[in-house]
Amino acid sequence: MSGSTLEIIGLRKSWGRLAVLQGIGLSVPGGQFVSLLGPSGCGKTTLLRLITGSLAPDAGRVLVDGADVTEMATHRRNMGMVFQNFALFPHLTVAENVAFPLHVRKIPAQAREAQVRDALAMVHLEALEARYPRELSGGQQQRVGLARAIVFRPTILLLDEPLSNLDAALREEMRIEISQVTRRLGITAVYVTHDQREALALSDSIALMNRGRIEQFGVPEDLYLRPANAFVARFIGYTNAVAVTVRPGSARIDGGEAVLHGIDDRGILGPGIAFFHPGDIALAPPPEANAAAHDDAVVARVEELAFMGDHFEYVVEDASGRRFKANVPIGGTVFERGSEVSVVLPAGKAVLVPRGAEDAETP
Amino acid sequence: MNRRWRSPLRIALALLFVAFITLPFVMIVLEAFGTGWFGMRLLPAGWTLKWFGWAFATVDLGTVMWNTVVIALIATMASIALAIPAAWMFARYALPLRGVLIGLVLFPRMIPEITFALGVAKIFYAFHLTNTRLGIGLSHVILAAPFAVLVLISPFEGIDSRLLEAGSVLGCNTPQLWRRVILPLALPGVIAAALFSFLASYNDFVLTLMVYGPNTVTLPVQTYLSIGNGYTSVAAAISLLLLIPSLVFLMGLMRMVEPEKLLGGLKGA
Amino acid sequence: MLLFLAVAFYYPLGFTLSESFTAKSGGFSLAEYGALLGSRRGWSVFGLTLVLATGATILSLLLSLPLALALRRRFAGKAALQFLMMLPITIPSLVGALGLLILYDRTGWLNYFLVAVLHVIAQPIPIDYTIPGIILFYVWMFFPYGGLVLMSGVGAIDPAVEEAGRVMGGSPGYVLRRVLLPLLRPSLVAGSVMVFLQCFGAFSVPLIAGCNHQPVAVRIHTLATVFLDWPQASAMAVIMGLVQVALLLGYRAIDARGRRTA
Repeated sequence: MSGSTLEIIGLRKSWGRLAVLQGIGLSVPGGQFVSLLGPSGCGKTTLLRLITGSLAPDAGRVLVDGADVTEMATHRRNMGMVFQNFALFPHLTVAENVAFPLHVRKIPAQAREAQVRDALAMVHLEALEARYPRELSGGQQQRVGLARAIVFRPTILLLDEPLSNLDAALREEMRIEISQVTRRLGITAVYVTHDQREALALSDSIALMNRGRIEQFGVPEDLYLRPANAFVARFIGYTNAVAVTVRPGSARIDGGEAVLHGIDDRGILGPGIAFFHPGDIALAPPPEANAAAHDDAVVARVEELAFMGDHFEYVVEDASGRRFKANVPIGGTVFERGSEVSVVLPAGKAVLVPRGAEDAETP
Repeated sequence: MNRRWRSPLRIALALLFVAFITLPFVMIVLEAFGTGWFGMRLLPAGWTLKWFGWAFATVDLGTVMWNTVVIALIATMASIALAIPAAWMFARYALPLRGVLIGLVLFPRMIPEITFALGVAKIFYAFHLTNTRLGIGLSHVILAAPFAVLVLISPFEGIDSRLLEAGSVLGCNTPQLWRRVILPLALPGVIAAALFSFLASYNDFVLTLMVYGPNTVTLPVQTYLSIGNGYTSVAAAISLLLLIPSLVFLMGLMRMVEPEKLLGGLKGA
Repeated sequence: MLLFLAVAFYYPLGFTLSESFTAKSGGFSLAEYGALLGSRRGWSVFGLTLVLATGATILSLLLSLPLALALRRRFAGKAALQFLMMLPITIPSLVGALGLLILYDRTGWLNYFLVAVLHVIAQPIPIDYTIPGIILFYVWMFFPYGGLVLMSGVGAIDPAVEEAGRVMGGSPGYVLRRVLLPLLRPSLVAGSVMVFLQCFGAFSVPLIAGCNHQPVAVRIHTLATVFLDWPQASAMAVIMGLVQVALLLGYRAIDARGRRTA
């Protein structure tokens, strides 16, 4: 079984003068797991509500399997949804909650019971079918929510931050559960989250949203290795940024002599930003103590250091006030607070994005 | 979808509801300011202030208003004086039988006013209290105090006991502690309790009807008497005066709290 | 506080109680209760009270439920509607009763519109001083008690639960029947009890708009002040108080049980 296709064309939605979605287009092939990733207020939940029909768009269309559902009432769309706060019916038992969509669809009792049993088995809750939601833990409640959302084989499964009300250990477990269930059913899933690790781990593709627009849509590796702009790079987890001027094959760090040789210039020439992971940055003794100075290094002073068990976390600052975070494995030289270090920025690990007007003051 | 046609229907229903609630008030205004409003007609034939003049002339409305306000003030002060220590006990001490005691305090608001008004009337007749404002005012405490206690318990519970310790450590004796720490902290609650008490007394009809005397007629009682005498327009004019505190109170209240949280008996019958 | 209430409230209450058990000749007697419960007059008073209160309670719920459901969303004018809803229970009941009396008079606005403007009926319909009329007045005056309980009940329902019902395929009607109403049941019970108790104790409306229809509260007043039959009035008051307390206790029992199982 392969899931339904979902196509979103030019969706717009405003609350009064505030434009929440400014023309969203998105095409999801059948059976794909797509995440809508972005900071709170970026419009991702609004987009989800427009897909379910809980909200009506100002403009644009939503197509499922090529059929326009934009004007269709929510309850006719045949979609499943998992909610952030579970949204289980408090007056119904676990089994009754899961049976709800089947009752609505007038499935005969025998088939209904079998389907409920299957769905509960899929989320490992067979034993709790007679309980009420308030008698379950958060993780169990969310599994009921998942079972309820898939029991009727919806065209599309929507998940609205389903892990954010769970504690860390459960989140991991539930994430795997969601991944297994959706892949087993081959269902098309749209997953809303603000956590980039969840999105990276779960998704076939990710739409990274910001201020009502999609900044980048692609497979996780793409977003991670080839972010379209500084916003994407930052949101996906790059913490160190330096303003550079890019030439073919190299980039000179602005406000200094250091040059990153052999960088992947991605065709960006002129002003750019180079991003680095803290784990990729190395610290070395300062140049005067070390004759073979790197010309890809920046001289800085140690502001903070913290022992994190398997590594030291450094915060260093150079003369122009630029800060870097570096995670240095234990076992090497330890630099004290206030001491001078040379920050080695490995060109091969740099991720380069073009520098736009809005990024002028960023690094 | 049916979004389009639902909206006019909703507006029509909303207007019907608004009319249902407000028209009685419109009637009172028309009755109070109109003349020649007999038979089937939309509006009175003319407009006048004479009913207010009549009210002051024939039923001595000035005295009636004065009675009502004085009685309400007596009831308010006595209620607050009684309610503060009672609410403090309920809020701060683990009293034995606390639930039962609260029940006893609130009981007067749980049974119909007329049931105890009878007994109060008997006693008032026996002790000749009906013609004194003090007597009527004190009888209104029965109505006002339970609610004042209810209103005061949660602000008192909300006072952090470390603030009281701090006050004592800094040298306050008990009266100073009350004046400088507790009452200022609970002031919004005390004001709310006072307003509720005032309104309960000002608006009271049932109990007052059973215990009033010739010199202690209040606005509600006078409204009733005027209706009984057939002077509907005069009664309407008095009603408008009677309405003022309630409206002011309600407007103030709507700014402060959600209406759903106000349950608990603003008035009886 | 308790001392004051003991003197000012419980003593008079006890006075009423003892009076109701006192024979005309003095001494303990159940004669008053016998006279009350043995007469058709006595039963008809309680019967009338019950009919009025029940009718008004049902109508109030029919008015409050759609209102509470409509008010669950934000919209322009919501605060104004809430203000209006608070009016009938904040103002002195007599004022409301007077306004109702004028509005629904034989020549009042309602009849004016029906007869002279809309021409739907030829003759004005009598509303004042009739049982349906009193019920209508009760609804106006007491429905907010139920409405407020229902509003807070509706407010306590997680909007996502309703959305879940819709997304999973429940039509608006289905979600209302199978999700919202079951969740509102405790509020419906509580609201009904609130309205019923208010109607049961109602005094001002039937006093000036009831004419010959005298429910308990008015009958007590008439007995005491017109017929000066204090023992009989006291007996009636005692029964009225007992019924009210019994209703309250019964409601609390249901409420407590509901909380345990729900």
